[in-house]
Amino acid sequence: MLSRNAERVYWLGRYIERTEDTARLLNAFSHVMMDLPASSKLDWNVLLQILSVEEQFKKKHGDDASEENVISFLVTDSENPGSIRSAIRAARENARTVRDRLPLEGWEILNDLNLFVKKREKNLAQNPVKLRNRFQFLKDVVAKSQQFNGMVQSTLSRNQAYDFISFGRFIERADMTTRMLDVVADILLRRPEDVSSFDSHIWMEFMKAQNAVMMYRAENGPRISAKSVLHFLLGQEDFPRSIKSCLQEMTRLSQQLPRNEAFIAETQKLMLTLEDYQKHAEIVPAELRVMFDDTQKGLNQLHSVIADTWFLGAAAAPESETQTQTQTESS
Amino acid sequence: MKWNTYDPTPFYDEVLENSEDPRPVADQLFTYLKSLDNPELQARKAASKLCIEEMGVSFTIYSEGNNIDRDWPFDVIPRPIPADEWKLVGEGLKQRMRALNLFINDVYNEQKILEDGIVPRHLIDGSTNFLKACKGITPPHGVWANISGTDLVRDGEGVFRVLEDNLRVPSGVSYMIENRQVTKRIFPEVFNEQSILPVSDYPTHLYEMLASLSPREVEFPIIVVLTPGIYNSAYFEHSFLAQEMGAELVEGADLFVDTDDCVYMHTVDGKQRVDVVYRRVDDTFLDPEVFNEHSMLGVPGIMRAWKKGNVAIANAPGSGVADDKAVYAYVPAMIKYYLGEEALLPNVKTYLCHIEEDCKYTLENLNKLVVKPVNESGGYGLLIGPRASEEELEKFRKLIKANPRNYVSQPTLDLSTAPVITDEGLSPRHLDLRPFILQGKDCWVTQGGLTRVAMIEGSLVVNSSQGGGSKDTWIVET
Repeated sequence: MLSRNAERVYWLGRYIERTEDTARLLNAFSHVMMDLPASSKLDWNVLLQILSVEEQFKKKHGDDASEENVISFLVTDSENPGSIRSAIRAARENARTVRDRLPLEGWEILNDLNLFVKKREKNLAQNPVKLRNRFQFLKDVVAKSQQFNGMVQSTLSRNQAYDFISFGRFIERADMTTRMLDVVADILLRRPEDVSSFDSHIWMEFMKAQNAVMMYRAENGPRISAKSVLHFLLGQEDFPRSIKSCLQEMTRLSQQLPRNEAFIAETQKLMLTLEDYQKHAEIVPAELRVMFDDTQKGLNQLHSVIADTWFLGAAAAPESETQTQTQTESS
Repeated sequence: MKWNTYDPTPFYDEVLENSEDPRPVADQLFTYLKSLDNPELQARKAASKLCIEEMGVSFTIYSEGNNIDRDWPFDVIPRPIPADEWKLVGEGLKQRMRALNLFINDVYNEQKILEDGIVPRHLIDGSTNFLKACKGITPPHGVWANISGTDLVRDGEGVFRVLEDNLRVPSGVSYMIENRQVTKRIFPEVFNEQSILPVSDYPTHLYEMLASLSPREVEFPIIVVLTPGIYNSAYFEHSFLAQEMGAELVEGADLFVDTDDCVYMHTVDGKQRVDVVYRRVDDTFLDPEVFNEHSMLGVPGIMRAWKKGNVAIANAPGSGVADDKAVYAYVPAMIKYYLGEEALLPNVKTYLCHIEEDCKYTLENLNKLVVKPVNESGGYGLLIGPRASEEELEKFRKLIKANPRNYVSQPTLDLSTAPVITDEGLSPRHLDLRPFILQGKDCWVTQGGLTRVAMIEGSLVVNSSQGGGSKDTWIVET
């Protein structure tokens, strides 16, 4: 497959995952805010921290991190490149030129998702900024993203397009999970005793965001602690949304790609970082932050390796082995 | 459906002979359409629109800015042509293409036709389409314009005449194919009753022709379609043809010329050699090393590779030298000169303003003529005399006097018409026809082509880039 097209489907994968994960996060957070008594509430600002968009938000809304401003900034604001609206538009644009690489419904689902958000934004009565519209809206966004992923899983041939769209999905997923855990863990672990009695509830809501509650309980029983949640979301091998699982899947897929040595080395490195951390008996917030920081850096590095090895960023590429016997549609 | 409100006179109508009777070729179509009332007709029209949306047939009009997914404007009533008439037209088109390609090859090599004074030298020397970088080259089979779209019109007597040859980057063929797909879904019954020649084999013929140009003799030469990208008005077609041929759709940055002067593609598996580039990028943007140095659409060094014969480019750069409204007038002379034959397909009478008496005639009869600049495509920059204001006429008078070599004029033609479905029912609209001719090792003509319709009543401007529509074209065996 053309290097450029590989890059496009990679970003398609990332943007769809971003759409889904952002919607999940906002849903979870909105629920949390509703359930907690005033004394234990978190700031809406926390969302901006998780998504690293505090600077851009400040430029537009200053210090007014109200619920309305934050939600509209993260959902419908097309000037915020990290909003759900922008992510969907980017996904669609990347898909546009590789439509023939995807199953037929792919483009249709993306169009549908795009129109869905566009229409809701324009219609004030249905605008997701309003709490009563929000849950259904976010649920629908998640459902439509899952529809796209389902189509990929069940009808996309396991070719290079599949490999790269999966890379995009897994890196974004690992990235989002890291961010979320990083911020939430830090906040919760530093809170004084009198407000932290609701924290297991908060952990539960964030696990719901990852669709992880049932899977967690099956593995760990009903008790929730920061440590067990962190270990689950970081390292539970059989749970597809854990960071370790994402890394393992990517390693597996890369086996069939050429020149994969650098990539595999990088994923191994990251997994070691996680495994090392899991050996700790207690959770020390400072160490936790270091671990998350290393993980984030590792994911960025992984992205760079992908781009340098297989996308147009690659310098003098070696001659292809397939040569004259194959048609151009080699993947 | 009442047809006696449809008045085809005074123009030649493709479907009706007079207000009562259809032409023989349209007999079955006419009977079928008569059986539909206006609501039914409107329903078919709506269905065709839906069909086009679903199929994703789209187009871009530059003046519409952001909207790059405008649905292809299509009128559901087909335009029928008898097969035996088409056979003669096809021979005429092939003859014309052979002569034109011999001309282009001559002009970039020995220039015998210029030496012998058949075609004035200044037309070539002064032409911006004559690319010096192409001198001395002979492409595979001596063919430069591998794909041509030759526009035909019927005059008031119903005779097919060539309006112009498009030899650089002619477009519209994918719509010809998609139009047939839509018609089959909307009027399936008619196909059972008549023998209508297929058009969907175009991509196969295109593939074979392109493959015949390959420098390497391999079973599956690597063919790519080079597109300027999604914002180009014909992007849909680029992607359609690439898909149908199993060829990779690439942009400039996906290709590079290596130290061996061969063209390669960047793929995940590494670099892959390219044999044939079907380029939909204008000549001047093809190679920043040789032409426009600011071009981001081309491939630096591709001319090097082409000149060495390491890659074939269709259409060859420089083909535009014959894609010129003044050179057009000399085509019958070319056919005589190179083939020793009379042109089977007539031109439209053309006055060349670089010839003094033609220029005089043009200026004296401006309000009766269509004036065209020698080198623009898409129907822009025309003067349609009978429709022009005194201001426009004056403007053109000045332009012609200042630069007579840049203008030609033709009598306004009574272009033929065919019925389109409007909100009130059927109404005649002017149309033309663009068949496509492929030339590589062999020469082949499409069965029919793209019929372009001026959607506005009375308008003669059919170009899609300016809002024209199209029809399915039927070559009917009777």
